[in-house]
Amino acid sequence: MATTSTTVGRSAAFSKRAFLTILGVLIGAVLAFRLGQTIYDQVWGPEVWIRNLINGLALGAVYALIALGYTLVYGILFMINFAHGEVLMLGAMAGFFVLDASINSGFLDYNTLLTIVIVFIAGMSVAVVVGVLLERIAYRPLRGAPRLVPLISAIGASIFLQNAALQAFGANVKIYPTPQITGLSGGQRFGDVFVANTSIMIMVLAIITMVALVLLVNRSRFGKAMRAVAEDKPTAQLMGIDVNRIILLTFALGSLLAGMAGVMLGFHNRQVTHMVGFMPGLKAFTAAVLGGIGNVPGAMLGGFFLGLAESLGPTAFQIPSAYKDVIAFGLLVLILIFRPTGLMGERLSRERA
Amino acid sequence: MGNKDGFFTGVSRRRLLGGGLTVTGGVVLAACGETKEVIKEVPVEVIKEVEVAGETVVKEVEVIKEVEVAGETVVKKEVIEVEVPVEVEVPVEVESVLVVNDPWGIVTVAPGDTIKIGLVTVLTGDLANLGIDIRNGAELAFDEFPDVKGFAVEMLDEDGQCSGEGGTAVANKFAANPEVVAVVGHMCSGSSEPASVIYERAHIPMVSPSSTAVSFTARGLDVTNRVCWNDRIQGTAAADFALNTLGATTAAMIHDQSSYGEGLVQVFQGAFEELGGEVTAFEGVTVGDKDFRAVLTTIADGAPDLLYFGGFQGEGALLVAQKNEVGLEDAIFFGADGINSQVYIDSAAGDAEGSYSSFADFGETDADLLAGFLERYEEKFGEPQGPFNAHAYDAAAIIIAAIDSASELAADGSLIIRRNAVNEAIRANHGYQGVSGVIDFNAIGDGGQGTVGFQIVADNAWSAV
Amino acid sequence: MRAALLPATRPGLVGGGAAIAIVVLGMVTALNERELAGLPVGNLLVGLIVLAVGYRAARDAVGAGSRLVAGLVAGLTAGAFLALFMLFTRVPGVSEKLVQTEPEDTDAILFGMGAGGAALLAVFGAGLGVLGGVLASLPALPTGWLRAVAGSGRLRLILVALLSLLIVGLALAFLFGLVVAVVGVIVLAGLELALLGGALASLPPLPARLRQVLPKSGAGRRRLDPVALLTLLIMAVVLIVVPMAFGQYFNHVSTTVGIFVLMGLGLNVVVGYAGLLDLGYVAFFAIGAYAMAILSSPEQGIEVNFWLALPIAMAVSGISGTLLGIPVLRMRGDYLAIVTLGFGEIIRIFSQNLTDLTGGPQGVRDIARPELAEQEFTTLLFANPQQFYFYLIATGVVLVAIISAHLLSSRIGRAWVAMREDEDVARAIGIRVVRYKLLAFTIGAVFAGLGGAIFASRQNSIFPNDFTLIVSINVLCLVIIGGMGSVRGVVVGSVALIALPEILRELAEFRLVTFGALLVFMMIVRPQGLLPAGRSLVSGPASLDIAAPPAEA
Repeated sequence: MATTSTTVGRSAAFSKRAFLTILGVLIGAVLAFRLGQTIYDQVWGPEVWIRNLINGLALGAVYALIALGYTLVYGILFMINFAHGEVLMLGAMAGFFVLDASINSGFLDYNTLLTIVIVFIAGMSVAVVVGVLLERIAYRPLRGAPRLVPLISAIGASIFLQNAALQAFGANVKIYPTPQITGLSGGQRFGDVFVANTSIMIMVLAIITMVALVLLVNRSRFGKAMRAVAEDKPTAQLMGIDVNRIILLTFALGSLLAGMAGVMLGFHNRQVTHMVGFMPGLKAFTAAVLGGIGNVPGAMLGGFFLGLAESLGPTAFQIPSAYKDVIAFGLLVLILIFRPTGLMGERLSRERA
Repeated sequence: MGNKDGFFTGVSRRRLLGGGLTVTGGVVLAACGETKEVIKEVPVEVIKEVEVAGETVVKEVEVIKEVEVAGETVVKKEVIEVEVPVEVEVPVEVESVLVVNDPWGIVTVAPGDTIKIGLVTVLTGDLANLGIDIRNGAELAFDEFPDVKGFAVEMLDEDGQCSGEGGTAVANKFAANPEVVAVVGHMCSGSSEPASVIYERAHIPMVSPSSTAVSFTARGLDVTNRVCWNDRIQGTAAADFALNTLGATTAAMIHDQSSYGEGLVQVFQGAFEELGGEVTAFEGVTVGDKDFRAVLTTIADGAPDLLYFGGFQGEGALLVAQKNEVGLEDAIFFGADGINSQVYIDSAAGDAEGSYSSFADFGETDADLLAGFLERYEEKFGEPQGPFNAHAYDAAAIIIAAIDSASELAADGSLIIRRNAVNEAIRANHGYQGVSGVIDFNAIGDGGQGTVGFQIVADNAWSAV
Repeated sequence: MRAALLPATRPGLVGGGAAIAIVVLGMVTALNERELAGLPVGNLLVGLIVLAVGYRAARDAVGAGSRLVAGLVAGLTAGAFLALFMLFTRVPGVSEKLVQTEPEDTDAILFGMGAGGAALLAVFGAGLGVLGGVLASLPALPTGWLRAVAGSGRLRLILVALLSLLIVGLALAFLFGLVVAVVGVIVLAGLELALLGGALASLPPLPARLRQVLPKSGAGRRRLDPVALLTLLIMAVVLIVVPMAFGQYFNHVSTTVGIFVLMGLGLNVVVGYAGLLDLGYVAFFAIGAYAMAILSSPEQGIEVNFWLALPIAMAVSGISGTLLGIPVLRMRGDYLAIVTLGFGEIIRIFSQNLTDLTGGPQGVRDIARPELAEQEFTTLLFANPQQFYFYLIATGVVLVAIISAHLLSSRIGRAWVAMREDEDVARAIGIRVVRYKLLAFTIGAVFAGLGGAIFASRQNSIFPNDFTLIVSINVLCLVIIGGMGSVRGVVVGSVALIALPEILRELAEFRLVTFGALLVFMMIVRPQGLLPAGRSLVSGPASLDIAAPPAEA
């Protein structure tokens, strides 16, 4: 065993890569063939493709918006903030209560735009408060603990927040009265294709947010400090950076984005319950990983990719749409086989992951 | 929360029986009040009842006494006054304790104790809003029928989740508690079915307000009952309505991948195709997702006249709103009783107008019953949130009534409930006028036999077609 | 003394927040239905929190005087915070949003006096805080005796486990007025399984013949330990007697705990030994369960015997473990986590939609019970099927635990540990990483498949809803809470995580809130888990990574 070990190890590594490549190529070939078949047989009219492309972009923008917050926190702490979706939910709840109050008091009719702005501010500030408390109570004491420990703490926090919201605000569905709000209701029609106004808003918001984040991370002093903390905490500390403060601010920023996404989703989907953050949170996490977790443009890309895979996948491969998550996760596996650190994963994230 | 343990299978209150029975003798002895030692005293005849003082009757009783006076035994007849609680009828009957036979055994409720009825819904997770709503419906019945023959009815409220594991955990808990007489629930078929096997062994009758899967009652179990329709009744009627009344010849099927939704849609599809209709698509949506535009887009490609949706209000409202964005404006949206709620209309805002659902067919007077129920519900819990709360009310009311007819007061004042008789009394309901419609049990426990009616959303409210 | 003022406001704010939380969540309202010594329990709990706040703040202060002041400040802060919030809930429109909170309780907390009551509440809080400060100033209790009595490390461990479970049980019974028996019995269950874990960790060497069959084990040199033998004996007696003594609910819960122990042991191999973070472990549980269901239910027309279906289900599950392991060979860390999570979801989606095979959402019914559990036997041997399943699962757990413990000390286990510590180095020293990774996935899957198969049989019918992501999360949590890499940790973790929600069932709708909070609390207080892998299990740098104490922030 000992004499042949090195060669065996190397050949194993070689065959693994070769095997995986062959596997990936095979799966890819099957999918490509199926796609070709769908197009050749003209199973769908062109409007189905276009509509689902738009649907996919809109859905992807939702994922991207949430994934940006996810990836920001991950990028600095290398921890999966499982409770991110719950921060989003609480933001959406807060937004709802303010909106409700403004409807009851007639303020919405008095000044619609201002109301919407206030609702967003309310949602975002509650999210920030929750996020900061989360960091202080559930995560900060665990800094330096093994990687899985903060993960469990995050899961606990997620379960707690979800059920606390259920207890405090009840199980009934909170309904954002979007159709009553001029500007948010309805949508634009491009020929045969209808796009809801809220969808457009989400896409615009996601892109603006991403650009702003990229600028913040790469150009600002705060961004520089963030990158330093992400790279090496002790050294950053030695360089005079208040590591705890930077992490707290990053959390606040990520939660701010979650709160914004929550209110936006409230307007978009109208229904808010205590479970509203769970699935999107999970999907956004997937999107962030897909793009290369910790990478801001990667989260965006991953979000759009996931959204498109979910909405175009069943169309392209002629599969019942109940399998859309199978397609999404299948493509995720396929991509990670070839790029184990995601679409835009860096050397850094591989090292840390 | 009370005594909800269930670990000790042997805890019995029968021991208490004996205590009550000796009351009369004790009173007689005390009435003597002489220093002579009474050896034996046998009551012979009640001469007259003298006085009713509050809850007791003072009776004059002739007794034969053997008294030892100065070493001699004297036998004499004497008339004494005895105070007897009203409930105890004739002291002589004491020895022949009510003999109750029941193949499933009995539950004895001691005086002052409560009759325990389980209530299993979903209190956490995705379906919590429906579950809590159903719980509230049943709770209203428990409030309005608080006792059986003077014994308070206690509701044991449990979270059975929508999973088999949650269901069996609760079922075993109840089965281990010999005081649990019957169960309202469970809510989901996926929780009811595994639980029913355990209830069957423990002889605990269950009445589900909302488990609609055909197989729930079709497995030959004795304890499975429900007051809602099964999927077959509703799905078949809905297919007929879609084709013959709404005039839809093509339909797309959408379900929420739940046992309820998928089962219903399966039945609808079969019936619809049999009647000559064409099914253009069969798709499942994921509960928890909010964006169904993609699946609706592919459905729109088949240009169906009608969308049939098996599932609940949350997804229903999203679907009916989003279908208009992808070229399905003209398709009729048709759901089952899972979307028949105000929450559906409010969530979908204006988009719900013109959508249909199946619902119990009420005559004039019966509709008043439901309206009265909803009014009382709103007064206690606020706005109703879902579709099956009225069924839960009926299920609880039927169980309480069944216990009433299957129980006897024992001489010691405890209540004896016969388990099998409860189940039979439940199934003996024919033409029961519930708030959810007419309930008519068949031999396998399907109570929701009533005619299927249909409603349409008009002016932000459900109204009969 | 002034230095004590500012830091003391922090625990005050935290405590005030906690008090507000239990008011908002409706716990005060629910608990006020009970009385303890004439006082409503809910309000008592609020008072207790403020008291604790005072104690906590005072403990950090130095000197008797500043202790009292710190307690005062903390109590005042908490009281004032709570009072302010209570006033806020009296704003029209706010209280309706908080569905669980009755206005009467708000009034009661403010002593029914509105704004004046708020001031009184703050003063009251200050008083309680001072009391907490006094408590903190009392001399510390001598705890050395416990250590002295406990003697050897393992015995102490068991004693501590015993004691903590007992305290938790008693505290619950006291607080919530439960029938003490319920808690007592579940505590017993905990003990029983904790004993099992303790004993397993110190198993006597296997018989020589068995040792030849099993992978060569390093544990063989260990001497027979009288303590271990004693615990083993007690455990065996307890295991046999307990299911007879208690009803079917107890047996059911214990069986559920057992099933999760099986899964936990499996995941422990994957995550704890080999360091592969798997968030979709439920996939193998589901595959095992569905294999059992499809093979043995008359609905699918195969209808084989339970005892035949069991090994097949394990094999199917194991093979799927290998297959699912192949694509993720190159992935690490969180990438691996999300892909495995995806696998879990994929399997569930398939079970939900492959209607012909799995029955779709309608599930599979009439899954076979082993002949032993059939009616005619149950009257003789077992009072109910639940009792039979308890024995079945207990046997399974013991076997799997032995295998799992011996795997770790074998060559395979050392290869896994090396791989977990540094994959590249492991490869460089000649460990065939591919083979060992796949082996970990396969063995983990086999264990989960066993659990799934027994689960399916016990449930009699299974549905896709039984196999959600929550199961994966639960299993991962119990492995980590128990102490990663340790067999007895898994056992204790399962008791804590699976039995606890059942105990908390008495809290009805509050059980998940409490559970979530306890999870966070647990991680902060004891991040290495309840019973982390000791030196005897994982040696050298391995324990550094797994059980490193948290660095001070």
